[in-house]
Amino acid sequence: MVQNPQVSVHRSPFRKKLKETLTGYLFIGPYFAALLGLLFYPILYGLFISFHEWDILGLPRYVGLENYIRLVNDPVFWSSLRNTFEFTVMSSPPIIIIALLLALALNRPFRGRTLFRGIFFFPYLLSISVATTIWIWLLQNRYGLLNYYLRQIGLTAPDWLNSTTYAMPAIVVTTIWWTLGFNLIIFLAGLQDIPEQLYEAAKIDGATPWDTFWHVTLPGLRRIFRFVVIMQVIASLKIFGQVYIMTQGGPFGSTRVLSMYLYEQAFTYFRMGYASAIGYVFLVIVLILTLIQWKLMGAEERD
Amino acid sequence: MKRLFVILSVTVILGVLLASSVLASPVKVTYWTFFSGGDAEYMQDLIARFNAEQDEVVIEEEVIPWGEYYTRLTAALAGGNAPDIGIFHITHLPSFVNRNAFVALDDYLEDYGFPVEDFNPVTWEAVQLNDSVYAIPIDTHPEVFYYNVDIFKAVGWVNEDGSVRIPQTPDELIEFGKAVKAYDPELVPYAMDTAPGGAYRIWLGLLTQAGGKLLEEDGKTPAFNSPEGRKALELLYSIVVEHGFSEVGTSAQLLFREQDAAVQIGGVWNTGVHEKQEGLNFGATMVPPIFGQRANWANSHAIIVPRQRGGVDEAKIKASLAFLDWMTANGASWAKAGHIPPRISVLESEDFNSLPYRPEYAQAAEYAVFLPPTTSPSELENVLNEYIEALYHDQLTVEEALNRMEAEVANILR
Repeated sequence: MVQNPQVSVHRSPFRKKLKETLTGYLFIGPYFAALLGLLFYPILYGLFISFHEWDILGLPRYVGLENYIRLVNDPVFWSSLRNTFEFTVMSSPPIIIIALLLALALNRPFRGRTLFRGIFFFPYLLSISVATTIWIWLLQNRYGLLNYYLRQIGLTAPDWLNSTTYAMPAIVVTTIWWTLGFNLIIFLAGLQDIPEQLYEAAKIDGATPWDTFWHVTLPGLRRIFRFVVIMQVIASLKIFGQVYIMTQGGPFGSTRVLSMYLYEQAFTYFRMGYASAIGYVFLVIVLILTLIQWKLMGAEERD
Repeated sequence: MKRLFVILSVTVILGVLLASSVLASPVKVTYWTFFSGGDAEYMQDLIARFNAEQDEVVIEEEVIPWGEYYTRLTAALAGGNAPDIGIFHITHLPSFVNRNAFVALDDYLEDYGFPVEDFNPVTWEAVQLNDSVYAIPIDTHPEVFYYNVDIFKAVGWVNEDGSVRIPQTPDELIEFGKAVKAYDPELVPYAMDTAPGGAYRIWLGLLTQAGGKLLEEDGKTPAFNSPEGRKALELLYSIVVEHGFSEVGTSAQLLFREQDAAVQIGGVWNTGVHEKQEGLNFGATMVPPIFGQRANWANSHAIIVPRQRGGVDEAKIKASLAFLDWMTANGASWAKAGHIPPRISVLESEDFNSLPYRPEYAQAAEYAVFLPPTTSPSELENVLNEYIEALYHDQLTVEEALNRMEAEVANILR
């Protein structure tokens, strides 16, 4: 190379590029292969199966659109969808707003701040079975702690998880307590990204704390906010574990959400075709909702 | 010549040694179970004892979490790596047998000389489908009637001989409930499985007592929307809703264990739990013949032989039958979990009859009412449970519950 610099100059960018490309492919290769086998293939196979009747043991039997037609006429599908929306509407705003308020509070310098950050984040570290079991026991009708205190102060204590009125709110409260910490951390990171100069400038201009929050903090959080809202709505729509462990969809189906219904159809009744159809319709609903949010909040960002 | 003789004899000796060592190497049988609670230790103990007592068969247990069991077994059957044998609820047999998942055992039972005639005929009949045997029952687990002796005495429901007086008729059930409530309004007269596990079980028992049945012989047509089905459901509605004699939603086992319930109607597996509770003075008996004749819900743990990709391995089936023969002959050990042994000789044995509580209700196996054979047992159970639960929450009338169950069950089993 030293003897013939021209050639080396000529060859090296191509070689370098090839080498870089190769390295890149090598790095993503294993993960991509896993993704291909464990995600893309099952997703496509699910689509294929949704046009079939299949109970795992036998061979899939082609039934055309039968599963989708059945779904449209299935009252349990619609009630599950309604319950899913109900949960999403009840749980997403509080999880986002409480997390934001806590983040604002925990972003101020005060004694024990780190400790409180840890305390509020802690439930997120629990596995779902631990988090839900704690709440099952707290909310237990006769022997639960909450009802014990309610009775002590002379209030009527409902059987939270066995009531069509209170079961869903109880699952919502459990979810807020359990998952708040994730949004809290994201908001905290977002707050720390807002340049200090902006606050100083606001101060010099004589802005009130409210003005500062409205014109500096909130706009500064806009991207983060959009991310949190979209992720939270998706997470809420996908709710499964809390329902599966706390109520199994009961009492009599009042907390049965779509993913729970899908699970029942697939793994209790072995109706893989119908379950796949539910999954695909669900996927389309989540996609549409996400796109709508994206559009709404994206437009806001441009002005 | 001499040399040839030596070579020959050495070969023969080696051959014999080799053959015998092959013969002596034990047959390995993989065995899937779903026991995790109180039952688990008794099953592990049985397997350990069997493995220690003989050297021809080695049983290797693999415990699958209960919630995933049927899913995992289905996946294993489809993937060609099913266990050699597996525990199974006999109510789930038809859906798997229809899909040709299990080996029919008739010929192997005959070759082995399996003591079929020693098995309780009610349970033995339940493991047969299309005139073939597809599973070996290891127990019957019916619902029985647990009573808190102290509460019965406190409310004065005692016979002249000092034994507790068990309510025998619908009126007596209500009368006893009132007595308990009058004594202490905080007590629950009847703790029953409500949601979501087994609300339908008591009803199935009661409607059979009244002379009704759940499904027609075809296993598809609902037969429960009948005067018998209504009578049974009305009694339950009266107990739970009108009189508030049950606490919907709270675990029946927990209520009884904490001495907050006078009676628990529940599966026999509760025995193993209740007897460990200190200070709980209780008894167990068969569900009384409320509507005239005896009948109680039951299911049964049985063992199936999954069909393997490579065909049937007769040596493994023979080894498995030896294990099952031994295990059911030692049924008194399994009965410690509360279950009723399927073999008559065990029921008559000293080992079994010296156990507490179990002999009192052992006869319940003869009055066992199983969920009728159907290809969708879980879905059938879930639908029945959900509507009975709705009835218990007073969201439906008895009439509405029956009509809607009938429509939905017909739709599922179609």
